[in-house]
Amino acid sequence: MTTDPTAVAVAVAPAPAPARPAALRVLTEPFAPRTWREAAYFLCSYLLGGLGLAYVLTAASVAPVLLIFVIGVPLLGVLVLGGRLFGRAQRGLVHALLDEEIPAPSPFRGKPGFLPFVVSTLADGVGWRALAYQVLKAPFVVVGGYALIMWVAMATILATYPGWWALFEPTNVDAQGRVRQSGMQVGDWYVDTWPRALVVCVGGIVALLAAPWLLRLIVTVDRFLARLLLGRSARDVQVAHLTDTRTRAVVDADERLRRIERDLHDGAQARMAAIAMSLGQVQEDLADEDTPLDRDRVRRLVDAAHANSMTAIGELRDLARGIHPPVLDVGLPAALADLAATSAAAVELRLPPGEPRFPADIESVAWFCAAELMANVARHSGARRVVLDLGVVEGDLRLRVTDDGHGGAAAAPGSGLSGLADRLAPVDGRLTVMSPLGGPTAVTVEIPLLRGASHG
Amino acid sequence: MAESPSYRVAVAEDSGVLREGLVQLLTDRGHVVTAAVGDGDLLVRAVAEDPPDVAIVDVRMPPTHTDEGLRAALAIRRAQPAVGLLVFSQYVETRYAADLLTGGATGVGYLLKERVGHVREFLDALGRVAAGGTALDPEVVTRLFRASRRSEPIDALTPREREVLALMAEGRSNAAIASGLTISPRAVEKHVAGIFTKLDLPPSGDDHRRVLAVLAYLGS
Repeated sequence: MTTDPTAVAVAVAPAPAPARPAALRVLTEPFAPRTWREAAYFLCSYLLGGLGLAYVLTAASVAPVLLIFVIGVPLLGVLVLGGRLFGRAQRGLVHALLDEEIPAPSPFRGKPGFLPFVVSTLADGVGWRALAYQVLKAPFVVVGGYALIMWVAMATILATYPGWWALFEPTNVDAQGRVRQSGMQVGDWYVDTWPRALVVCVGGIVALLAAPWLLRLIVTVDRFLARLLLGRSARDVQVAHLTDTRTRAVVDADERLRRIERDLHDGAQARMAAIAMSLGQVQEDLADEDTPLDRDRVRRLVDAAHANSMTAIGELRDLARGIHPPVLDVGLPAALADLAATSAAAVELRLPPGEPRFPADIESVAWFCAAELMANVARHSGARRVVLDLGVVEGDLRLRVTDDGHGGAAAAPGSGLSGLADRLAPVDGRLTVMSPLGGPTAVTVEIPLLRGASHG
Repeated sequence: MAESPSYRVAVAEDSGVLREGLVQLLTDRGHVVTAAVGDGDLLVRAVAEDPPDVAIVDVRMPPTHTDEGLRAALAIRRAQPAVGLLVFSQYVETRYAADLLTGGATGVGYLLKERVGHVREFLDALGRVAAGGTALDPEVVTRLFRASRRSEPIDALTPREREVLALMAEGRSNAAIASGLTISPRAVEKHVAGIFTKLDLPPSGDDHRRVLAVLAYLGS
């Protein structure tokens, strides 16, 4: 549960990883940088795990004593919070040596007041999970790690056997009392000849070659536990998601208000001022009793005021329709039909049968997306045919706009498409853009009709 | 219509409709429009090439639509202090007015855009600015009054003196103030003297003291 659900999914082909022959990998793995980083991580994690385990065991043994004395209860809370420090150190190790960012859980926020504060320390899920990590990793990292260290030590001894066997010429005595020139034996198989010494050496080398994979196994288990217990909880992820979408909703609303203000300022407001200016001059002319009225001039001024007022009415109507199109009150399909009718390109409409209605906010967002996408088609794509497809697919309202233009659309930050993603985020909607260069472009918008059903 | 002096005016307004309307209005009233442009940079350049008596500047213009008009006005003030500035704004923004007046309130006006609907008032304001006076929109003055809480000397003024000062800030002459408040010009002079004393303004040219009083009043 460490990934945030994202609203935009743009299809991108992953770069193929260069393949190495498996046989070669077996030989080179002990020298791969990754192995050494993992080894460093393992050693640190091993030591830190030992400390952590000692910490947990100590805490567990003093806890009953602490609980007897009332004064000990806050101390117990401090011990729980201490788990967070281990968690942070471990995340640091994972980041530094394994190059993986485990998202930090939300920081501890104690409730105000002494007693509530103590209770919140004792109930700190992050601290408890970090302590659980110390306990659960013990069998794998501490015990398994001990085994691995022994394995590597033994393998090294075996691999170098011929050397030190030849050098020190060790001897021992077998069951029959004969003196053997060997440094080790398995049952009554004494390693006292060169062929046998080489067999042992090869066995040691094989064991050493296997060590990186054992190391990887332990590190993988450790990393999995760390991800599970030291990262964000499901609730943290949800909170982050909600915070993110809320921020985007607020920013989006703010931008929309700005745009409306700009439209008003540049449009109707300026025209109204111009109208006032024309009429003001007429007023002046009419009030001036000494000068004969210049009818042409007055007509020109009134004509200008009239034309500006008509334009202002049209601009205000467009603006109001952009904020909330009245036809949307009839239903989304009707609004889309209206949209298609005003488009310059030939639009093929595919609507669900029977004029279905959806929740008002979803209809509004879907209409906005459709309008924006149609505007994009008109502006950028050079398309002549557009298919506007609305349907309900697996509990999602799905809107798809396909055009035969020249493609190459992308949801870059600041583009219209990323604006759509921001608009979609609060309703957990998703935007998928398929737009290869040369076209066609298909933009799909999916909005879950049941809120919260799309992700967990 | 009485013959009024003709001024050379540069206009910077991004709305084409309003710009054309302003040019038309000014030309009809016998003024000469030296430049009619749509953004601040063009205005600064036009004013440098052919300095007008007054530059009419819209506060919000491209590219950022925030305060480039005001910045252009301030740039003109620095480069050519003789050019009168009549700033137009859709809204009352006290900070803009304060910025504009910081360098001295001579030949400065700040009007709401809708003032162009009152052609006479607008042309009066233009004339005052061209003559080196001030022309603050009554709305701007009211707002600034509310915004300037900290200047204590202002608190010493009587309500009547404040009214007089507000009209001074709009750029009115003593005679205009007298008729506006329906009191005698003599009474106005008395109030103005009272204001100068209470604001502790040293004796100097009356116009300059008026400007200083307005500045004190604006709390800048």
